[in-house]
Amino acid sequence: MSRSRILGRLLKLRETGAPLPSPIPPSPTIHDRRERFRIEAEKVGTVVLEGRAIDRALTLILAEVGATRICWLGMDLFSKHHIPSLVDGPAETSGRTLLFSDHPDRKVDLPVRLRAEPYDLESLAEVAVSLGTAEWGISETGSTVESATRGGGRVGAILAPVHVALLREADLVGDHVELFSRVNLGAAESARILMTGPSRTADIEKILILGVHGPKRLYVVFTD
Amino acid sequence: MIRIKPGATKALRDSSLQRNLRHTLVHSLQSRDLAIGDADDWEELRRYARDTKLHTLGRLHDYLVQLEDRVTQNGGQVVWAETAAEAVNFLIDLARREGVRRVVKSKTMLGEEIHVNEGLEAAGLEVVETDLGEYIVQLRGEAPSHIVTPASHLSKEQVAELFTDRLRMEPTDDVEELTATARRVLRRKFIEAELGISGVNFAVAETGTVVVVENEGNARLSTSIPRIHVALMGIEKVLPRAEDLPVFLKLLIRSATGQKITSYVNLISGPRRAGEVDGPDQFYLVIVDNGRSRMLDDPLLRQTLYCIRCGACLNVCPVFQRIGGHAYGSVYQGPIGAILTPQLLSAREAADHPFASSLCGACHEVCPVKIEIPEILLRLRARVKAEASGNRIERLVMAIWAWFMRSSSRYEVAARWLRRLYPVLVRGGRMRPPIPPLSLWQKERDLPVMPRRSFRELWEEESRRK
Repeated sequence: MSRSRILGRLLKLRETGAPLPSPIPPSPTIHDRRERFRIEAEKVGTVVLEGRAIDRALTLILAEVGATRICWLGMDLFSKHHIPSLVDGPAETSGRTLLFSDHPDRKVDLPVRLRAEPYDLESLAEVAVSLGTAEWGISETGSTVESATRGGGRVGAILAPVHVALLREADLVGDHVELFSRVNLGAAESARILMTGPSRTADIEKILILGVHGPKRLYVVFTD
Repeated sequence: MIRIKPGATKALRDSSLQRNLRHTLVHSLQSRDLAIGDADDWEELRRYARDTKLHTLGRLHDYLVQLEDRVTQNGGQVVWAETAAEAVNFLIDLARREGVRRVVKSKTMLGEEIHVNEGLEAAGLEVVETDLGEYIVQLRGEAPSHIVTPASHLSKEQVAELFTDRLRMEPTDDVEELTATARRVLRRKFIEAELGISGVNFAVAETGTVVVVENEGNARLSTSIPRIHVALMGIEKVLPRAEDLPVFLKLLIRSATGQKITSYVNLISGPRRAGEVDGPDQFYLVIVDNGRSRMLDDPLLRQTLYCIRCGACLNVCPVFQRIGGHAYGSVYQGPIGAILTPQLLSAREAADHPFASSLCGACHEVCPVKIEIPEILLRLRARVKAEASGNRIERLVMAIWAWFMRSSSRYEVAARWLRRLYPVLVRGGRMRPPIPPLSLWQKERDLPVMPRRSFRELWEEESRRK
């Protein structure tokens, strides 16, 4: 059996002399987390919106990208970011459900009127704007972290040409060292993703192109 | 045996390849330098990474068992493969059992190493690479020419020609449009595939988490849309703790692309869980040895397993800069390829590889985990020479050389004699008449001008003048 053969060889070569270095401390140089986050995020092409009510911010985004539909990734996003909402039709929020809202005049009014639909990859792939909630924000690199759990899913944030991540200042960590010392990987979720700027490639002649497989535009909206 | 010289000779005469290489490598080197200039703790990070690797490789047994344990707890399954064939056969059996017909892949160098595409295609499966650069080389029927930027040997015109031909795209050389075409074609492939294969940049033993670093989003889609996800990792990819990730991510990404962080870092801990809306139903982590445990035996050669596949040593290597990746004829190119290939295959099969280097040391200086590549090259050269049945003339020449080098007076006499003879034989950078085998040198380059006096003589003269 391969397992025992590989492990047997490794056991024979086992050497325990070298100690594991002690973890490096978090960076002491990040003072204003929110300001640093904004600077770093903008460097990589993320649009950061702050100081606006959520309906205003989303209306602005829909106008900028010319979209009329939003897919809301996650059930607890509304309570976490204090967004009043109503679910039309049967309020089926358990199981595999997607939440959509339509804004034919590109205007977002509160409460947001949501429509629950059974999960369908094709309809998710066609939505123009996906909106998720950041579990954490990382000031050092202007990144947001989204978890697959609580309705967030894995691919909603990547499939849409425009993605919006809602972020609270309280959820900002200074750097990656702080993030990985606080986050409990795999405890509650099957996948997390660190997102930093739009999807990008430079595979052809090192020419930077945005939106290759994932979003061409990434917004981060501070909700506090 | 893989020969480097024919490919290298061809590459040196290919002016469009030379232009493409120069263009991308200058770009890569500049981005990396800027990114590292930004990190004042670079040396500290390198030391940390090296110490972590040294520790972890000594306890691979313990950490891999822990990793297996955690992956299983997370609902995934671990498969062990001693050889490339075992890994590929597992995938073929899995595909048959699960009724898989279409496979999407995100970038995996290990996948290249074990020739997973060929294996699956021979079993009747459709396999599609989804990283833009990998997709381009797959359409061309080529191997990647660089471990990080697989299509860096091509110009946009060549890609345009390929897409017009193969994807029936309207002729254009607008890179934006080329990319949009690939996005459209590959979007369908993601949605239709039943199996997604990815590589692994790091695997965290204490949490059973697989880390996949990317910029495009294709790894996220490959590992999440199909109902089965298989991640391929070499035994050396395991890291003890989640706290090790910040250091390794920083070193890898800055060295590879010069970014502070890539657009996406995927942290995958098993298949879809109850209550999650998407993700694969099955997750397999295939842990592949394929010759790696053999490298552990020797404390110097073991360093080869520190490698995190950033590609920085390729970009900085004066040999790679001229001959490009394909000339190496192996999956791994450049300095790391020169030390990895002979160990993965055998000293005999890759006898050219340790010699495809000027031993300038740039690879060691740039390496984020400080692998002593020049030392390892020397060791592997010795191994090749020990295995070679022995060329009598070469041994005789070396014996004569050694005799002159062993005494300073013999050396000086010989050097003085050669300095006088040289201008008689060489004029205007050419040897006239050409005397084989010495004249082979001038096939590709001019011979240098010999100074009339030696450094020692100049030094003595200078000292007398003072």
